[in-house]
Amino acid sequence: MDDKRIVELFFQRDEQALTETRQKYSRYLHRVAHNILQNAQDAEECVSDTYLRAWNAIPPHRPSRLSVYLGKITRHLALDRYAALTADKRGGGTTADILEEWRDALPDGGGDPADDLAVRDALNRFLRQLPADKRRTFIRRYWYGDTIAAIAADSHATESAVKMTLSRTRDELKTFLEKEGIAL
Amino acid sequence: MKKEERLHRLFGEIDDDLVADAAAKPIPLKVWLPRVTAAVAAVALTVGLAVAQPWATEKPPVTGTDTTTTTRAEDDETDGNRGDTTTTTTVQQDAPDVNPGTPVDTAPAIQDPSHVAPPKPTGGTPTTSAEWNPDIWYEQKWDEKPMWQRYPDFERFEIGNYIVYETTVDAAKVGEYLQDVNLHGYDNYTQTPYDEIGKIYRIEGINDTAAVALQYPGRKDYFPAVNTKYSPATLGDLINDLNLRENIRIGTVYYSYHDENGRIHDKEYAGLTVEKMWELLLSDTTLPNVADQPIDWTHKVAFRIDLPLLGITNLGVPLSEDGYIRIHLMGMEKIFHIGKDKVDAFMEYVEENCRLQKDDQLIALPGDTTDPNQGTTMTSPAQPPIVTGTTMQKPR
Repeated sequence: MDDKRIVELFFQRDEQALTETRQKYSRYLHRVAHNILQNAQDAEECVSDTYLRAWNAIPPHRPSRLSVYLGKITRHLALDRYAALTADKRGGGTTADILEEWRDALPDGGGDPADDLAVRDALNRFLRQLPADKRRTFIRRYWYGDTIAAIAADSHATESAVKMTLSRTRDELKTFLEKEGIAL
Repeated sequence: MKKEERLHRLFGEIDDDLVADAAAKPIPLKVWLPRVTAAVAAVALTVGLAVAQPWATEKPPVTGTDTTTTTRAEDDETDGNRGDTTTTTTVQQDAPDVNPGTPVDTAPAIQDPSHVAPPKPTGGTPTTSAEWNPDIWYEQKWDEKPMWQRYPDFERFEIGNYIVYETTVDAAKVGEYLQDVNLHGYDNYTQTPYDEIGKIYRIEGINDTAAVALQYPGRKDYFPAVNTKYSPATLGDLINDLNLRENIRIGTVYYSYHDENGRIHDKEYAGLTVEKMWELLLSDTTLPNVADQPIDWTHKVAFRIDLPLLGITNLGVPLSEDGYIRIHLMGMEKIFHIGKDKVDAFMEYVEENCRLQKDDQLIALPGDTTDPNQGTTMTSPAQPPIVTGTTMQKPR
């Protein structure tokens, strides 16, 4: 069923919307959650919560891209859970690696942190001016949480090449934010 | 929160179109494998011919290639990719040919089902929908797509990103020419980017920073395009910028509640007039837009509106217990605090003066085998998860 029809079912409060959403997106959402949490059960709970959140939010939300809309909810929930798990010294895996990558890349100090909107706008402007392949590699690593190995395999590149691309892009983002006066 | 944690979380705010663009475009192993095997075969044949001698007693080396199809399921299991990409190996089996030697585009591990072509069954063209993988949505090929799907959005420098709606704007409502805009499209089948130049025009009575009319090259009609970054400062700005007094149409008023058994009851009323809506809810135009503030939202009731001029239909407008009205329009929320008294007065008016159209419709719970409204047997038990309440936090 196409996304527009699924969203219409949400608006009609027809719970077939949830059935269709599960059927179409459960794997995709599981992957988003699992990439962050590295645990099937935790991922499953995040995905279930995503359906509930979507039910509560649509309407009035009418997502133009249902997949990304749902994926963002799942990602947000998974990050919350990850934060809770790592506070209890559980979890790890890809998310820990990603945070490690950025820990080394971001400068200390830098003044008062900019608000979320400013950071978001700067981030999107930065990404839009990147070459498409570089941007996709960046988003797959830091939004979708794909492993270096997975990105390398799918782009027919070596893991070293992917790491180098990501490292350079991190540096470019750091420079971009500094020029924009955006502190984190 | 540590800087890296904050940044990682803010990656969640990357624009939807960029996230969607980066999503899995599966490498069709069955597409590139034949090219690889052909190349290997060509090399092997060349080698074989070079070494074969008419007087040789040894047979030339076997030059056939292994045509066993490997699936993504055989990928490294440790990163959790295994399993969910199995189907992708057959997804683009019949995709348009890529020239031999053309590098295959990237194909991320996560597959976004919303733009992946369905697999064709090995037995030929499917005759029933059951033969298609239900997890895969069929994306139309480039030349099958209408223009608004080929080029669904565009940027106006320092104003925002506009998304295009599929309806058309009445030409009589189209005003002055504003500017040319760059249109970018992408064919997922052939991994080919496309670029065009469109023209945008003012729509009568509507602020162009909110919405414009887009004319695609070579076409005479106009499509509404709305700015996803549009954020009015006040309710009055919203009303004026979109000329809502002339453009809005109102639908039904609806709300749901849960009984002690967790059953969802739906009520819906018809007959609310636009004039009454203005009077009861939107009379104070000085109210500021508070969408950027944290709000604990407890849903009370909602009503539907249409903005036909912009192609917006059946948009739900919710009201909260504490007196907020939320209008999620054009990709961004606009929230105004009209006050609890107004919301209560609105509910009272609706219940006393409007026509009850849907009366206490019960929603089946998971596991129900009979329709709770009619007592008749359902063809399959209800499956959705139990919705335990309509309370929600303001979404990020």
